[in-house]
Amino acid sequence: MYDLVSDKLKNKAEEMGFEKYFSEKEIKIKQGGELELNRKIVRAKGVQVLLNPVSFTKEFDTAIAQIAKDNEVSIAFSLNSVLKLKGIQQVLYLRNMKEAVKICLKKKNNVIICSNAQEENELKDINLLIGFAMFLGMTMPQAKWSLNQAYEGLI
Amino acid sequence: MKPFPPILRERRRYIIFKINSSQKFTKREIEKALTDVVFRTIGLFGAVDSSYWLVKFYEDKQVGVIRVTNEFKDVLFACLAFLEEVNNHKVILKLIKTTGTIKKAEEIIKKLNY
Repeated sequence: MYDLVSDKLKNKAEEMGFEKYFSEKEIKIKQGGELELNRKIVRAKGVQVLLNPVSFTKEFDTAIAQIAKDNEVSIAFSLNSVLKLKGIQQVLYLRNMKEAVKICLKKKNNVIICSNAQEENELKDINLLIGFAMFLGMTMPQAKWSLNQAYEGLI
Repeated sequence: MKPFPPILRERRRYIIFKINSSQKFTKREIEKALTDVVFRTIGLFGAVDSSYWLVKFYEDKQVGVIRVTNEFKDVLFACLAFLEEVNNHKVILKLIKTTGTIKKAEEIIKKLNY
């Protein structure tokens, strides 16, 4: 199992039960957000992962999912981005994230679930990430795939 | 009184976890943090259905056991993913093992070298 974290936390992988931690230095990750930005990222050459293509408003649609699939761009959803929000913002963000995951699964995109931890106390256990993936609408095999085989194309 | 038939009895799972933090916590503090996070994520109805309970917490090892119904095991994992702080201190929660009996859970905790 793998996870995307900050570069300084890479040596903590075994402690948390992961095979390896990937950082932004190894994989070309671009932070998404607004609709136009998401579209630009998935069309750009060399981008491997589009991270968090959602915000409080609907910013992810089937068109972006299709372009991402054609250009072999993986879509990543991080737990850390949800934890940073509070109140109604967290609710809206999670709702949009669930919808985006549903679209990605329908379009058969390469979906990655990660912690995207920047500090040591933001690291998460494998089972917690699987639980989060299942909350987003994945089945158990899909959740495990998103933490394991989904990274194989990026290495 | 007629005993409850096995098919109607709820099946339980015991989740062994460890708290990593610079601070040591008491059972009451962990219980409060757990209740807060469960209520914040799945609410009252979810908490009732899951019938979660902090069965044991070894304060010396900072290892504990949560009981939950087998259907709500993954839901509780998702809840625990949102647990960041205990008593205003940042923590890392690590899940060690899920067992079917409390006896087995205790055996696993005894073998732990923390």
